[in-house]
Amino acid sequence: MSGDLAVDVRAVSKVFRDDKGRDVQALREVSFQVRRSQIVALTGRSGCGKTTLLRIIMGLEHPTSGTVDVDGEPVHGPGVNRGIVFQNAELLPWRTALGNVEFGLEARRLPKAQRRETAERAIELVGLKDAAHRRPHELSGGMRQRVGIARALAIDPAVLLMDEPFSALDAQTREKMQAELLEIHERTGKTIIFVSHDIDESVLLADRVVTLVPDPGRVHGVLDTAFGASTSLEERRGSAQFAQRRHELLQLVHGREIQQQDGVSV
Amino acid sequence: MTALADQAAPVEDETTLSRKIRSQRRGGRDRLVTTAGVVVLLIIWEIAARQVDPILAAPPSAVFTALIGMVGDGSLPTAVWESAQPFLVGYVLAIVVGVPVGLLIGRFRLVEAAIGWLVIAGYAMPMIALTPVFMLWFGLGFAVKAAMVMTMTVFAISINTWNGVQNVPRTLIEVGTAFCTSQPRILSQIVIPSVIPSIMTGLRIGIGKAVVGIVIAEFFTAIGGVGGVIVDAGHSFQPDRMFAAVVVLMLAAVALTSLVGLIERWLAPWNRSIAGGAR
Ligand SMILES: Nc1ncnc2c1ncn2[C@@H]1O[C@H](COP(=O)(O)OP(=O)(O)OP(=O)(O)O)[C@@H](O)[C@H]1O
Ligand SMILES: [Mg+2]
Repeated sequence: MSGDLAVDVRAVSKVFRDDKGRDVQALREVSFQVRRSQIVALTGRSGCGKTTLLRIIMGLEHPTSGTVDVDGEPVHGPGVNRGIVFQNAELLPWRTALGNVEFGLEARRLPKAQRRETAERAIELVGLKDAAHRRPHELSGGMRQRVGIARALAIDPAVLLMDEPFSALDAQTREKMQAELLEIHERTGKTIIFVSHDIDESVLLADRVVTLVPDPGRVHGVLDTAFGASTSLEERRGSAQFAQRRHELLQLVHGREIQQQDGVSV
Repeated sequence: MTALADQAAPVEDETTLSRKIRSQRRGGRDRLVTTAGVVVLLIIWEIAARQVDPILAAPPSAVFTALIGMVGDGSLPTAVWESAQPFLVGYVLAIVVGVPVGLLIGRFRLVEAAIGWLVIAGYAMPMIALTPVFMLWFGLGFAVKAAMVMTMTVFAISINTWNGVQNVPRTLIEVGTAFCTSQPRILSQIVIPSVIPSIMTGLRIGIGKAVVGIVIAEFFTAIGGVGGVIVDAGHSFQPDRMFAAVVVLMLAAVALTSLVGLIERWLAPWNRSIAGGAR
C-alpha cells in the first residue's frame, strides 16, 4: 500500500434508478488519487456527478462498481476521518448556529465544556461570532453555508469534503474564507477535496484540478496546479503561474466543449 | 437577507422590530374579524330563534340567562369538573400511547407492517358502535368515559405522528449519518424535533375528537358531566339549558385547541418561521 495516498478512487461507477424506473448513469469508471495533505478541486458542468462522487467518498452513497479507499481502508460508510460540507448547508432548523456546529461534535465523547469551546472556536473562525445564537432561518444563505463549513471543520477530520462551499458567498467573504481555508490547510495539513464551478478559485486553491464531463460523468482531465507552500492568495493571483494555469484549465474545459460538439450529430 | 444586512447587525434588529409590530397589528386585525364573526352569528341566531316555538330553540339572550343561572346554582361547574377529569385522563393516555406508537410505525417498517393497518382501521372506526361493548368492559363510571376519550383520540395522534416521521427530510437524517451520530441520537435530535409540528397537529385534532368522545360516553351512560346536562335538558324540554351546555363545550374545545397551539409555539418556535401558511 502506498502510505502517501489519502484518497484512492478506483473505477467508480454509479447508476441511479430514477422515479420512472429508468437507469441513470451518474458516474462511469471514475478514477483519481489524492495524496495526503493535497487540495483537489472537482470541476465540471452541472449534472456531471460531482456531488455524487463526493457522497461516495463520504460513504453516504455506495458505488455500483469500483472502490474508494481512504487512508488505505476501503470505504463502507461514513467515518470520523472524513467531514463533509453539503451543497445546501443542511442545518438543523431547531438548533442555533452554534448548536449546529456542536451537533457534529456530539458523536465524539468530549466533555460538554470542551465541545462548546471547540464549536465556539469554529464559529469564530468562519466569522459568525455575533450570529452564533441565531437559528438557520434567521441567517442568510452565505451565513448558513459558513455554519456548514464550521460544523465540518470542528470535528477536525483528516479528509475534508466540500460541495461548492463558497458559491453562495459574496466576493469579499469568499476571499476571506478562501484565505482561511489555505491557512487551515497549512496549519493542519488536512486533505481537502472541494467542488467548484469557479475556474479561478480552483486554480488558486487547489494543488490539482480534476475536471469531469457529464452523460455519463467521467474524468475528462487532471491538471496539476500546485503553487509552492505558504504563498498567499494575493501572491498567487499576481503570479505568472496563475495566469498560465488558468489558461491551461480554460483550454481543458474549452476542449471539452469542442469534443462535445463533435459528438453531436447535427 | 442580503450580504449587506449580514454585516450591519443593527439594521437587522430594526427589521425584526418592525416585523414584530406588523405581526401584532395583523393579530389585532384577526381578532377583530373573529369578534365580528361571533357577533354576526349571535344576531342571526337571536333573530331566527325568536321566530320559533321556545320549546324547540332558545335565542342567545335566553341561553346566556340560563348559563348565569347554572353557574350560580353550581350545577354547571360541577358538571364541567365531572367531565374534565376523565377527559384529561383519556387525553393524556392517548398522547402517552399514541405518540410512541406513531414514532415506531414511522421509523420501523416491521412495526408498520405489524400494526399500521390497525391504526388506520381504528381511526376510521365509528366510536358509537363500540359504546355498548365499552360499557360492558368499563362499567358506567369514570373508567368508561376516560376509555372512550382515549380511544377516540389515540388514533388521530398516532396517524399524524406516523405521517410526520415519514416526512422527515432525508437530507437531515443524512447529516446525522455523515457525522456518525448513533441511531438513538438521530431519533432524539433529528426525527423527533422535525416531527413535533405533526404531533401537535395530532394533538389539536385530538381535542375535537376527545370532546366528541366524552359527550358520547356521557350520553350513553347518562351519568353527570356536561353531556349528562345536555341529555337531561333535552329530555325536560329546556333548550336554553341544553344550548348553554353545548356552548360551554364549544368554548372549552376552542380554548383547549388554542392552548395546544401555544404549547406548539413554545416547543417549536422555528416552525412558524419556516412553514408556509395563511397570511
Ligand atoms: N438520487 C438520485 N436519483 C436519480 N438520479 C440522481 C440522483 N442523484 C443524482 N442523480 C443524477 O446523477 C447526475 C449527477 O448528479 P450530481 O448531483 O452528482 O451532479 P453535480 O455535478 O453535483 O451537479 P451540480 O453542479 O448541479 O451540483 C445527474 O444527472 C442527476 O440527475
Ligand atoms: Mg452538486
